[in-house]
Amino acid sequence: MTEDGSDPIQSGFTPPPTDLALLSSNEAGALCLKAARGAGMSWGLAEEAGYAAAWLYTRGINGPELLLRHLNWIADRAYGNVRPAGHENPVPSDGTALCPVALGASLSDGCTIPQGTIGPVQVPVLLLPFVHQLAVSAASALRLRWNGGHVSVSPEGYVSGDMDDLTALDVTELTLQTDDTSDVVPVSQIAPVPIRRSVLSDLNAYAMQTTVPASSASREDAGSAAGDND
Amino acid sequence: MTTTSTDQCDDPGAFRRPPSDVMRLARMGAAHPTRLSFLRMLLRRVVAERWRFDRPVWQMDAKGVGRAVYRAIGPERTYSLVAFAHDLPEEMRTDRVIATAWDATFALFDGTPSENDLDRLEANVPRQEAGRVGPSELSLSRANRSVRLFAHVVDRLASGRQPDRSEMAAVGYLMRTTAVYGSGKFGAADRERIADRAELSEPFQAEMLSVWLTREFSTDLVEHIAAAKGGEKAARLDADIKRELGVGNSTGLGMAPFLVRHPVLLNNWMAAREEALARVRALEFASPQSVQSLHDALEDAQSNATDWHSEHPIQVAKLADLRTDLGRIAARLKTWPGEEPRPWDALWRWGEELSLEGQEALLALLLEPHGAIVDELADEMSADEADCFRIDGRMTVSTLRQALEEGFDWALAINFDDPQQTARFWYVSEEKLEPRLGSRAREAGAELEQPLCIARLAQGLHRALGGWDQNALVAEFLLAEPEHRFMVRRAQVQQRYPYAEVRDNLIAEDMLPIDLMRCKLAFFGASRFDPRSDKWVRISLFQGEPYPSDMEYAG
Repeated sequence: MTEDGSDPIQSGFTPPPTDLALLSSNEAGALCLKAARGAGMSWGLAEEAGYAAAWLYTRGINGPELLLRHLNWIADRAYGNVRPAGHENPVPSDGTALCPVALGASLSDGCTIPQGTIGPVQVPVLLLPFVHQLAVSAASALRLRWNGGHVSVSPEGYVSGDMDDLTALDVTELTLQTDDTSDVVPVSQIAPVPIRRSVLSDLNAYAMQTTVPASSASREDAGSAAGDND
Repeated sequence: MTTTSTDQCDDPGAFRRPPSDVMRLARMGAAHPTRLSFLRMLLRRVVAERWRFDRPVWQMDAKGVGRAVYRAIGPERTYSLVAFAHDLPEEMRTDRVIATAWDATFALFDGTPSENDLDRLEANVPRQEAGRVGPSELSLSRANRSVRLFAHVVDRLASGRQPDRSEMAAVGYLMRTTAVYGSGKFGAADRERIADRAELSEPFQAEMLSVWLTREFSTDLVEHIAAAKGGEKAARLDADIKRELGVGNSTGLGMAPFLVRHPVLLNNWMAAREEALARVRALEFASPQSVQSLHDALEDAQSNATDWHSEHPIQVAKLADLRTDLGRIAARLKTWPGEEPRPWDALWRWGEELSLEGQEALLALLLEPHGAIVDELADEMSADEADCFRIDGRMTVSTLRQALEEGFDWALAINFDDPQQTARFWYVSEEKLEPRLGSRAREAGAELEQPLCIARLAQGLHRALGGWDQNALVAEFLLAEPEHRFMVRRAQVQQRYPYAEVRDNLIAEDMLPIDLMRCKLAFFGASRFDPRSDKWVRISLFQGEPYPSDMEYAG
């Protein structure tokens, strides 16, 4: 991968030349999907990771940076060690911490609102997009609570509560329960958040692990059999 | 186009073609544009809403280098094509995505751009993927000249003459786009931002508008350069000749995976077209006006088939089939309609004896007289794919398995132990992330295969489910076997959207990527499909259609 933004041949996603960049949410989701796959997630879970990052980004939360933090942690860990022990048992198999994407997807799949403690969960803010899916199923806002704060997500996808605290957390135990009291914050009022160039470069480095190095044979085979100067 | 309100539309359900017929690659690779194609939707709207067009900026030197702005002014909003024309050295001209420079580059701007906007775009748009656009841009694109024809037209016009019509017919366009990016690419506006605007809610309308304005730019540019060269004696393009020029498009494998990656969208395109055919077949009568309209459409189709050239052996054979079958349809129409009930259905069933080219051309012809019952289906051709993203993990393993056996029976029947059936693999090259198709036996990189081999993924999922307690939940299965998550999502989409999957093996030795491309391009409204290999194709858009500058409204 190159740091030279003017050389598009050598890299796929070209990080913008500025230190901070605004992405479209489509772009953020697509880059994060590829990065998650490059970091070792299955294609289906990588899709969930892309969804989660874009969901947060749309709400003014730096989903791509948060996902990168998680991918750096998960990159050298086996899925079996970071997945929930059971479909209705959201604790880590090996006692360390859960992948929020694997956990979130599992809770969403089963429409499960666990009764007891969840986790510990790595980068727990990444769980919010899946809590939104559960809130839709439950037709009720849900409150994610940890020692020191809480955040609620409504079925409409609005978030409220101690977002800055949750975003700063590296790992924590949580509980999840219905919440009929939360305020709603319309998404349209939220300004997009710029992403640092180094974050995009690091995500891109993971994403490039899904690509095949170029060869002259592959380059020629993909094109026209004739030239374009006709 | 003539439409009548005297036709009666009966329940069309019984006349709908099943996905097992429609979703085969060979048939998709014979698709023709119809009145439900996206460029036709744009042209209908522009006329119905009396859009106006102007060109507030034209800063171009004698060599045709500079910038221009074309505005499309609708009832609620204005969109502007911002064009940059360049002096491209011949050795840099390639239509491939790996290109770094082009004859012209474009962005479709949301509104009327200020000088500051133009300067910002000039610093980025000519760099295409290496630049950045923002939420005020709806598409980013580029085009190369058809070198020979462009030079010919400049020379002829500069000397006060019109271009040679056979030269024009052989190419059909002055410039061809080589990529048109939308939907949030490179920082552009997300689809969600514009999807609720009536004029952009149907598929690819921003891209179609961009390409239509690009066609106007290409003729303006050639006339400008000819005028600079020829001075007072220079001519302008004759209106009839100009109308026969489309805007070309040159595309490779990047387009093929799109249909596989967007199963709900594919379903909605196909389902709308099939519903349109079913509605026509269900009609009890054929009015004189609709019969005349069919004859007119056939005449146009025969003229188009005569002018449609390709040197690719596959396409040469298809064109022969098409010309023969259009002749057979013409002969059949001499005694049609007779006394038969449901005359349109009778004509369709007669046509099932034709080649795939002939059948799909007949489909397009049958839709043409029936705008009154067909055009509204355009409203159903978009998709909110996020709606179908979430997996239903409460489904049992048994139910999912049954869904696979019913919806993916075609996939389960393929023998993947036969090397011919796994001969190829889809991958993304590190070169500008270009999608490519490799040979599993001869090329490295198969371990980085993209999940486009849906049939094999379906078989793998079916096998894995067989080892589970059939009463277990899909949520439990996926927790243990996350590698099947991608395919479980598709299987559940297929249950709701029967036209979502291409029902062929996309990694087989004999698979033709151009079949996928032709299907998608036909939905765009492309004509003159001209393969340059089994993975590369040129087409023309808007050929024979009016230009933005032709839009004049009575009253």
